[in-house]
Amino acid sequence: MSQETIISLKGVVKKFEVGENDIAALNGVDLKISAKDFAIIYGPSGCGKSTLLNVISGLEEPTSGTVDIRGEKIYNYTEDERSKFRSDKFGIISQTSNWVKSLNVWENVAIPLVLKGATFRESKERALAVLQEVNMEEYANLAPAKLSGGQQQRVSISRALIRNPWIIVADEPTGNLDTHSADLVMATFKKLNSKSRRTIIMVTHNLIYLPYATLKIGMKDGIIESHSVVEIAKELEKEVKVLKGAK
Amino acid sequence: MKLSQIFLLAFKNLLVKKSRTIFTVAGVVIGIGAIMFLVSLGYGLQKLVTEQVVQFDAFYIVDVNAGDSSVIKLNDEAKNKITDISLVEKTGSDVDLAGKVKIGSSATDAVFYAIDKNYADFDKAKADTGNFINTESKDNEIVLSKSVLNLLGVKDAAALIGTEISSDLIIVKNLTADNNSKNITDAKFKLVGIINDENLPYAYIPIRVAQDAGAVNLSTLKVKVSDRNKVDTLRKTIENMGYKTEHVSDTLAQIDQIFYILKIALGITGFIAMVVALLGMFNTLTISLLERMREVGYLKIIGARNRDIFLLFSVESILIGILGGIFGIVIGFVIQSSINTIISTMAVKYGAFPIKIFFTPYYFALGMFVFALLIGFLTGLYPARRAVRVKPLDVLRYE
Repeated sequence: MSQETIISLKGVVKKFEVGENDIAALNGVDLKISAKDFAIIYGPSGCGKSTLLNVISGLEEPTSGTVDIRGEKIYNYTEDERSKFRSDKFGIISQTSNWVKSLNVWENVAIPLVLKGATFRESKERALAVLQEVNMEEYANLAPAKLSGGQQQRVSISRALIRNPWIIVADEPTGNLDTHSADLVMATFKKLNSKSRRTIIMVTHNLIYLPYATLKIGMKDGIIESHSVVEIAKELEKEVKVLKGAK
Repeated sequence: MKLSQIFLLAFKNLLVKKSRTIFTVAGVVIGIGAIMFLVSLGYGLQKLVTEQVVQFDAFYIVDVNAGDSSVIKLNDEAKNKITDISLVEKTGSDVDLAGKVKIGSSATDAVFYAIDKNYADFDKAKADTGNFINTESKDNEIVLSKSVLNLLGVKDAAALIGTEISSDLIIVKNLTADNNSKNITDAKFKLVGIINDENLPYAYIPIRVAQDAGAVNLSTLKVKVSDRNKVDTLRKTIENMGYKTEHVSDTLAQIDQIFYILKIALGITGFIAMVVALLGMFNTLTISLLERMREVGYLKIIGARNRDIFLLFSVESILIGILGGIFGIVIGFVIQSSINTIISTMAVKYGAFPIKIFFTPYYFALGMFVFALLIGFLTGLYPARRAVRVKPLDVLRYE
């Protein structure tokens, strides 16, 4: 497998102002992700997982440090240039799908192409093809809200795929799904990574999916602690107990 | 994003909330319809009054007089000069005399209009009983207003037609060559017709009578212009010669001013309905944005530019404006036409001329359409700008 580095972060710090205090969500992150990676970012709540993902996908400018995507320092770009870069190179999937309610499934999948300047009619064939890739073509003419959570997430993946991006970033894509649906989504990611050779970067709470990863990025308090999976697992277990206690 | 696709998406967005869209558009329809209805009433009444006040031909006639000047004379020389102006088609002359009409032992004061044929034509002067004077006839003919005969105590006016009438006339001094007034005593006329005017005592006689007795200047010269649009040019040319001019547009300007104010008042009344509609439209668009914050944020994440978002929301409000404008104009027009038809039918039924009290000039209808479009754009401006300011990451954070 090629080890070509596609994403490189050096000394990335991201601070948020909360009242009068600065809180560091990322506290000096160095990271390299190669083109063939299926990277999973995991860790307890508030460790900075999502912030790291947003920094990588050009949505959250770091307070300091550099972010290179295939040699391009994306935060040297203006916001509009970065937005264009992001929509060209990244497919973005979030925990809940956000649909344009007036459009059906295939039209929603086609939206990234339409935003790029194509018409809906021109984009239909490609939309149906990517829906087929996630076995959702039979639902093409339904309203997305009519689908189950798992089905919606697979449509969401096909929407992320339509512009043939280098990198797919997914923030808790299985967070709202039952086990079966979540497994289907993970299997789809695996297939995209191994067969379609796309870089996958995924954020999750759920350590069950760690075996899918070729790069495991464990986080705690805004820094990467790749060698303490067990420790992080314990933290997560504690979190689960607290949640159960609360119930 | 292509503009055609923005329109398509905006249209689909409006269709998602059908009843909300219909009610919002209905508000604009009522607003535009109300303005159309009321202002068209203003235009209609103005047209009605204008047509009553002036006949079409009157627009071609300019009245010329010497004003109060004792130096400037409206004599034959002046008449020839004016007739020679290229814009002048022909002229009609009038000399106003004071005098008495005598029948038997009774006598009453009257104004005598001594006129030529052109003047009579321009003035559309006619008798209601009998005929109007033939200015070229050898007989000195006269037409009297009913008022004269009433003052003289005549009961059966029609019986007098064909009889001889005697009059004393005075030619005032500014009409004569030597600037001395002249009297004509016991001038004999043949009564040929009567005008049904019981308010003013006056008579029409041939101009020859006054001129033979020494009137060298005219009281009024009616000038017919060859091109209606050149009236102002002609008036300026004549006024530069020192004469005063009058034209029906002077009266019309006053009428227009009154109706201008009326139309504004009616327009404002309609605009109140429009303001209510606009508040409703603004409310709808703002709520629609709030409902779609996540949608907007996510569109930005997957590549929508600020321009796309701005246009999407603007086009939605413009579409509401356009639909409201078209339906408002059409419905307003249908209601006006119906009322016009009903009133005309009733008028004809009761033996009157058919009248139209509503009139919509095409430029006003076009103006209303542009207004609706503009209102749509302006109302959508705030929600559209607010949509542009949506921060995409906030959408992800609040999941």
